[in-house]
Amino acid sequence: METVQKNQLMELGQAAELIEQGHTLVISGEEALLAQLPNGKWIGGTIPYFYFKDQPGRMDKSHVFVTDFSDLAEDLKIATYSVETLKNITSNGFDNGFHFLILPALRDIHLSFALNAPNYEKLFENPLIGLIAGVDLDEFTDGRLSKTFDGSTGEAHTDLGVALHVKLPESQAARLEIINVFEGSDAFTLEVEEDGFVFEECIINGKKQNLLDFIQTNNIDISYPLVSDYGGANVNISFQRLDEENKQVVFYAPLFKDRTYRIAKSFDSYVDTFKAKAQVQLQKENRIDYNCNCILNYVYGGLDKASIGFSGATTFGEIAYQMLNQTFTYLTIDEQ
Amino acid sequence: MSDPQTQFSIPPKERKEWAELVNGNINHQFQNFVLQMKTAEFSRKISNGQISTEAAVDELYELCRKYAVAVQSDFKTIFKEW
Repeated sequence: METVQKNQLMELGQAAELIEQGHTLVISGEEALLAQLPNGKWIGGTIPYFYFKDQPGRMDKSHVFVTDFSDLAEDLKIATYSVETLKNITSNGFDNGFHFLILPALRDIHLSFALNAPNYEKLFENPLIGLIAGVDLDEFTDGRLSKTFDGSTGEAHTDLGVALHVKLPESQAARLEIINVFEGSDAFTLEVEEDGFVFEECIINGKKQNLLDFIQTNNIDISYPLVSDYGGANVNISFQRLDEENKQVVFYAPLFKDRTYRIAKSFDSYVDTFKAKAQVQLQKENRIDYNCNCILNYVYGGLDKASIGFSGATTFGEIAYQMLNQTFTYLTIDEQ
Repeated sequence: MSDPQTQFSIPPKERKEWAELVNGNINHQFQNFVLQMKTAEFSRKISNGQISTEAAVDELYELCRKYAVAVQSDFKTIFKEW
């Protein structure tokens, strides 16, 4: 399996050179760096945490992480989307290709996407992949906002999404896949009566009760996500925080009322579990053109001390047709 | 959706397995993420009356045509031969 090595951390000057040469890029890094890049065929999102194929990951505020789609893109469009227009994203691309979307973290557009993406028209016709931008976690706690960058204009946004719509030749098909190390356990089942991110009462093991009380009484480890089974695909919902003042639990992605959720099974090592799972899954792949992984896997999984065998930028959420959490996501290309 | 020229074929739409897949009567977990998502969605929407079996088969067939390379091993399990 080939990891297409156009996915790497580099000096700002190198990224600027690629832009000036007309490359088609997705760039992640500190806001102050992205703001210095020339206009061109690129989109970007803020984040300073990266993981590497051959060494432990790190927070790096002096380099940018670049994915180069130039060799793939037969044509492209760059567009910005508001809360109102984001529903059109899956209709605005090309007949054959993929959409790469970057959204700012925990703003209305992120929450709207998470709730409504499953109902977007033509959602599954071409892969909708991307990420939620982020910032230094300490600064995020202090209220600093993540930003998205439209490289075609040089504008940065705290409340708009940016997208790169890529057209592929007819002989190729883009395919989006995930590697999720988390599996639902039999500890309890959880259902909700309305879609949402914040919950007081939930149906737990068939009985309505306060979720915060249940978590505290049963010492549930909320570094593990809730998992719901979508036809064999495990989709994670991460805990954001326990709000003791309001007796609520806040999540990073919505829980939907027609689904059953389970807390994930625990394991000893994220890195070992990931590698074992990846070894099986990636046997079938010829190449990987893009990948990203969640900041929570970086933090809870200790990716600042170990490598999972891939290089990429972390995210505050993964876009894989819909909002995912704590999930390694990748894009591959099938040659027909 | 475009019509990719592919060396990999998929079973004809008339095969009964397509309808069984979208109705959840064949309990097969696709290896492909989008097909896992779609088959879960189809069986839920069909049972809720939000989509007909025929429309779901049309949609699933188009997706599988696009991902003809990736679904070959799944289809050998489901359809055996075609």
